[in-house]
Amino acid sequence: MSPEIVFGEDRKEYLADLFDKDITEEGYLRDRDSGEIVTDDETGEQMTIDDLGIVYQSSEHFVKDDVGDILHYATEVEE
Amino acid sequence: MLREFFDRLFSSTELRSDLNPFLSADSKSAENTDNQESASIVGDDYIIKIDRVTGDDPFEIDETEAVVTVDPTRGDWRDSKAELKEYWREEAKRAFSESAFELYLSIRASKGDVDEVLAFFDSILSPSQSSMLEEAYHLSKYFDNFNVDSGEEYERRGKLGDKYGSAAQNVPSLCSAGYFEKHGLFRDLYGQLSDSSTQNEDFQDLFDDLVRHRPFVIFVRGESKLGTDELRRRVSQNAAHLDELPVDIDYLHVRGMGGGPKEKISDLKGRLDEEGAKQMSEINRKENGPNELVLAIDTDSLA
Repeated sequence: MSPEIVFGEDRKEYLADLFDKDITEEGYLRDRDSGEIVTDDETGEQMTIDDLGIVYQSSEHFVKDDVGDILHYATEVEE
Repeated sequence: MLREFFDRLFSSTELRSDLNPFLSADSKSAENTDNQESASIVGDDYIIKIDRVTGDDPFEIDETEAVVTVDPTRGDWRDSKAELKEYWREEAKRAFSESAFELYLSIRASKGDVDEVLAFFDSILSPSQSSMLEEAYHLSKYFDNFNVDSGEEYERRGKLGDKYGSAAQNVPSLCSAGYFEKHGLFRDLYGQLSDSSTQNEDFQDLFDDLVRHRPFVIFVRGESKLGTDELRRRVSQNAAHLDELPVDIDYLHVRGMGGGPKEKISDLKGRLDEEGAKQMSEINRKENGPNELVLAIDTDSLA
């Protein structure tokens, strides 16, 4: 198991930039190539920078920082 | 693997030896590169935290918490995005925001306890009630065990309320108080409905009512401005609600943590003693966090 990567609050924008996402005026994450707003992997809800909880592959999947979405990731995706 | 991460950020020739977090003081002075791995002071169990670093170096090592904090926006590390992403793609395969990571760790740690509770309730609650209880239970474990600040707790309770209705905001407190556990109130109430041909439906209606109005408990919060008169009035209100239920709940709990709430509950107990009410107080000792004072009032004895 490789060490986990955790982004502090002060570097969340760096995390967005790392994955080629802009932040709209309303705070939503928007893909730089497609222009589409990032959505939660499970619920399909649009995601703001404050919502950003987990980024995992393959390709890029985004999980909201919400108990239901993280619970789904920990029980359905990871296992 | 942690070493590989740093190697990607720095080629070894660029990294000054006094900045290399993999060398202990001894091996630095010995300049014995063959011993670098064995002399590491950080291991693969460390967490790589990307965050602001205020010292002279662009990283900090916290050996107690096993965290290496890296600030890739500083110094030579400014152009490190490609390397960091390569590490993410090939090694870590995921990245967390800080609060999501702690909640994730809590969910992993508490899964067995929460599953035990859900094994009882999942088949008798509606799917929505069951999902809400599961999420609320995980939040209660997170709040109890991870030293969550009040702002984050308020926000997460609010999100639960947005999703399942405002009454859901209070369910983590009911979980934390043990009302859904073995020998807890809700399992007893389900048993009381066993003669009903519509036991599950009746229980679902009761669950909604009890979660929304919580007639069996009054939580006295730290910021509460409730005086003794108001608390006494609520005790009567709740007792009246309990009388209307199709099940028997003999005791009304008043619960509080910390100096202020405990004092208010003691004052209430004094008032009820004067009235001749039967009651009993106990300390609920929590594994993490402050102990809780619980006053159990026999509602049949209220004037």
